[in-house]
Amino acid sequence: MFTSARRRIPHFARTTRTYASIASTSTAYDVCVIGGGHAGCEAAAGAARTGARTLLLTQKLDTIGELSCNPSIGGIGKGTLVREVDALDGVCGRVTDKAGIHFVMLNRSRGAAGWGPRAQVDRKLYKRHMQETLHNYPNLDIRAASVHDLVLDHTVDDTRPHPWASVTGVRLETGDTIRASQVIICTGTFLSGEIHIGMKRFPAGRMNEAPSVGLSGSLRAAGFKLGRLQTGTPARILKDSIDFSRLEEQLGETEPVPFSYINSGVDNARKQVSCYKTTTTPLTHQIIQDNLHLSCHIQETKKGPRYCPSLEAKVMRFPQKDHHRIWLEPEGYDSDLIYPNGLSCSMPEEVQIPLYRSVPGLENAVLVKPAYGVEYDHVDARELRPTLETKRIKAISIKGLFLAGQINGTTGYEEAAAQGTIAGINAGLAVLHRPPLILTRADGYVGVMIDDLILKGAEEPYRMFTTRSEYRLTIRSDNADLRLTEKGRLVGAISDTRWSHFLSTRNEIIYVTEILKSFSHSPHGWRKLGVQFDMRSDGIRRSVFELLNRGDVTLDVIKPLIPELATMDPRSVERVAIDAQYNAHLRRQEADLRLFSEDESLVLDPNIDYSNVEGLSSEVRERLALIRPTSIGAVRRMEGMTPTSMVSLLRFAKRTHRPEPVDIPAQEMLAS
Amino acid sequence: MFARTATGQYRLLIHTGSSVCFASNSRLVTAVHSRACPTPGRHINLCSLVGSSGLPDNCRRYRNTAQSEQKLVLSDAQRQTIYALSTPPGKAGIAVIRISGPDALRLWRSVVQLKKTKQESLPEPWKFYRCRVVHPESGEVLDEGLAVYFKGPRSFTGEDVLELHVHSGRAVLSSILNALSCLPYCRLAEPGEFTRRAFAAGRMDLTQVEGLKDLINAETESQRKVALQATAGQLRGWLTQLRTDIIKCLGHVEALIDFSEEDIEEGILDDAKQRARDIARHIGEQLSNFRRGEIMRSGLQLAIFGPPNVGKSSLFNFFAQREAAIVTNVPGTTRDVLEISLDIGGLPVVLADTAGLRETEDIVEKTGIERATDRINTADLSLFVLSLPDLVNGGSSQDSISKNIDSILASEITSDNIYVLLNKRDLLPTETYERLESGLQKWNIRGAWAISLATGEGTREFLEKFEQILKERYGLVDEPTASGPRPLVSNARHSVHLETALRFINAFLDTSDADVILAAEELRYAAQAVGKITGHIDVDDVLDVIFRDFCIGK
Repeated sequence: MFTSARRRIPHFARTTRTYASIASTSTAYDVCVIGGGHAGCEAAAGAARTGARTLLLTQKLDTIGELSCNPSIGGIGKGTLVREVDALDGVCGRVTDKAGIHFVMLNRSRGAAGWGPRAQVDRKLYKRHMQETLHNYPNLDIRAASVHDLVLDHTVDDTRPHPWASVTGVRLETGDTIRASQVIICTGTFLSGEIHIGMKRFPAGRMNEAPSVGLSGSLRAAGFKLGRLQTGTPARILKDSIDFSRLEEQLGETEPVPFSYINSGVDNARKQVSCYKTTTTPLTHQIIQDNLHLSCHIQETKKGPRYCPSLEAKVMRFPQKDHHRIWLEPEGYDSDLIYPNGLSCSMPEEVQIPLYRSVPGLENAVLVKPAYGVEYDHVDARELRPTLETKRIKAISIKGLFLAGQINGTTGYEEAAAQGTIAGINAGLAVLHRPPLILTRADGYVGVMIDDLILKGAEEPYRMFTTRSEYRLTIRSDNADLRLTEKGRLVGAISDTRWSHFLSTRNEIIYVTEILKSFSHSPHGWRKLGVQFDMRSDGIRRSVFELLNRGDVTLDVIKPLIPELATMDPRSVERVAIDAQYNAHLRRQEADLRLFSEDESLVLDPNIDYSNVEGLSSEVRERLALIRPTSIGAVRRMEGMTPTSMVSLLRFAKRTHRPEPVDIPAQEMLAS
Repeated sequence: MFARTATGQYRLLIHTGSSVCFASNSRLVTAVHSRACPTPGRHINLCSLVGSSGLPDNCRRYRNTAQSEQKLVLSDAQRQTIYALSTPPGKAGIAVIRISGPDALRLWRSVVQLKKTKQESLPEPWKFYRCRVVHPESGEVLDEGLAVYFKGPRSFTGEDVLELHVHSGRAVLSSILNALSCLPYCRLAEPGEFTRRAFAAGRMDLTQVEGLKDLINAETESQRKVALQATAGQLRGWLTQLRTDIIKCLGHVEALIDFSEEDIEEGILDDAKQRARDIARHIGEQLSNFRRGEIMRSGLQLAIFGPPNVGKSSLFNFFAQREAAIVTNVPGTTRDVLEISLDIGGLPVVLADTAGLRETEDIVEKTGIERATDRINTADLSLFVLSLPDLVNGGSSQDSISKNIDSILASEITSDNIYVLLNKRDLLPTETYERLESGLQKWNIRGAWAISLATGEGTREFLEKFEQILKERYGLVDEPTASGPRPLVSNARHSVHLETALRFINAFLDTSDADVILAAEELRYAAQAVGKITGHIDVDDVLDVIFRDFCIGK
């Protein structure tokens, strides 16, 4: 496997260069990305990495890489998504390492499978570094423009039973047309966005930025099912108006763990800033109760996120709680603003002032920008394929149209970035007529998210949690590169720099694994070395790897005994120790993963005429026709599928290559 | 082994007991005292089906080993060998149990017993063997039938496949399926799993030939639903509650992992563990009802036993209301186990007459006695028949007779699965019987009756009482029992999944508090097992609990 990869890569690289040079002579683009948020940035970079000539269109060049809500990246589950984007050579991890001003590893005490790297970031630094990165990205152009409509080719293809269209470009509000065979829409909350403050409502994507209404219309006209979702953001407070003296301070970690696998540290490790903790009070809750009738946002029944509720929602749903936690987060080194995490609401501005001032520390708070709720269109993600391209099944389906980010019903920068990466790479691969990059639930949280979205759609804004993954022990934040980088390299979406860095990391991990597995002693021998643990002298030699698995020793006890470890990257050593610790559980999960991959490898043609499949109930047929699952595994996960219907569909399944043995823990397989 | 020891012990006791009945009173008393084990062997044997914690004894080794050597409870995916009844139950004389997977041959060695000469060698593939199907742990013979081994890849699933062709009685099938569930490396197949494997092996042609639907075997999802709907409202309620409980438990543990930054009250893990302990207890109780439920479906196994020539076969004929068994006054007339199906008070009963228990040199009779003891050991209930005149003849005074009968009752009825019939009361002199009568009421309460099968004296009263007892024991009365009404697990499939769930819940409880994530893993498997009965437990079910119970979000 190894050697074949090595043989193939130079070939890809060659094709890429050749193709790029041809494309650059043409005025048209291969891939056009609409939107410069987190999904858009990664989509543009991803497409460009494959070698496709890519254009990023955004309303304002200055808002590329804008953090529209909280000034932080990562978290539990989310942090792993950032690592996965980075493992696919995406940009957000590296930018965060430059822009972060306060780093923590959430869940540190709970073990690596729960670790969530998170950083507070300086908004300006983040934008600056993101923009710098993209402006210098090979194959990528950036233009400020507002897209009004998609340009479609409706030529009927007689070989297909249904009429369908393909994208040929986008039409700008100026009337100009830009040609592109693939278009990725990453419009975030801008799709018919509407801001709510109190009873006021006005069209906007973000405060003071125009929504994208034309595109919404085009999608609707093409037959896409659109829904409305809600979210919100708190007011920004003038830093100097806050009394921090009585509040609990939270410091960043002294040895920040970088997001990117190619970084060994972060830029601002030695000048981190603090966050502060405060809470709401009964008075805060009273003010909310008294003014609920003044919020049009909260009175509507549209779905907002349950895990990131507005203050109104918290007060209404948990009346028994007399306080809710609030974090005061800095917006940046030279920013005079504070982001009060937990105070999102859509109360009228005049109510917001007393409301915020009822919180300890904020008695004299000056609100610079008000809190607001936002409501926006999203597409039913069940219309998408695992590549995030829209299905080419019905009249609504458009070849070459990809959707990524909040438009698919998700929320969060990290979720958006991850989708952008997949959509971007696949749009690029489509241009090059290469097989798509499809990640499954076994590959990572990206796979989990996309699978959830395309099979179930989003009932409420979708956020990543580790709970969502069946294979939490296997897909961790520490091993995203081992899971994904090679897959990315095989499709040609990983740069040479990244690849060579990855290879050296992987070799080191393999080497450390060897060391920890071969360094073994009997219980007596271990005692002689001064390693004490509870074990009777049975004369059986146990390796460090086994002892770590049994929880008998920690790495710190072992390190002095094996001086060679000191010469290795401490991160690699730690990573092997994590795999050792989870080894027994990973073995068990491996069996689950094997079953899973077997089902995934049984591929179904999404164009099956389900009415011709015997043994399906009409209800099952309807569900299948809506989702059009692409594998037996997907059928298994669909709602309302019976074993009988699965068996009936088996006849139509095509066996793709037999799944390789589960590659987790990858280093072990590679070592063998 | 445990069961075997217990069985051996019991055999010994029976022999002592039976010989005693013909000996002097003093010896009888001694014999009673010599009974060292307070619990009769048969009770222990029943435990091997349903232990006190609800786990079959021989499955219990999965417990408490979870963390010691990092040997985890095996997940379903790790138990790659699957089995299922692949013929519709109860519709034909012969049933086929199909086993497929890497450990099929290992399973053959555990449960298929050929003639002694052939036992050691591996079976020749594609050849039928006449065999006994035995319990892998106790060695108890469950049925006689045919076994055939299909060597992979030339088999239906492409894997090693084993087929056991056995008798289609419910009792037989459930005992065999139960026995297989005790093997750690195999498990009940998921609906459609055989077909799925057949497809994976490229044997789809076969499945098309044989017709898809039949091959999804009896255990289909629709059957699960039907079974669930058909279950008594009580059980359905119980299962719904179980589902809710385990989702809540899992939700709270998951919340600790995903929302550790949030305001989650302290003590959530302790609460979750307490909840898990409650769930484990409930499942345990439910599983111990399993046998009760099984009885409702396959009939109560009732065995008549006792020394020779006390009227066992007369009792059998009395129940049968015809001369089903040959009755003579020659001790040892009954040599084989005779069976008849009855309906007592609405309860299906399989009544078995057994050979009189005594020391004998007659080989045929000896075999009969061995079969009798086997049957007594596996019966749900048994009727111990004694001859009243025999007891009295050996006694000198009324007091000592009463005392001796007391002692017998005290020893025999320590297991509440045994009832005593003192037969041939008509052969006692009237005055002797009248002198005993004062004690009779006391004996009745303890499950002993004095009757005469020859004249019918006392039989009516016995039948009424016995019917009443059966109804109470097996939940046919409306009044809840002292421990409250408990739903019956009437489906073997339910019990298999409940056992799995229980194993994982115990593993969860054994995991240290510091390892919330590893603990959650066990709970996830437990929820998966529960979901197989109650409908799949989805991550959204878990998230619903989290967001309902905790205020998440900054």
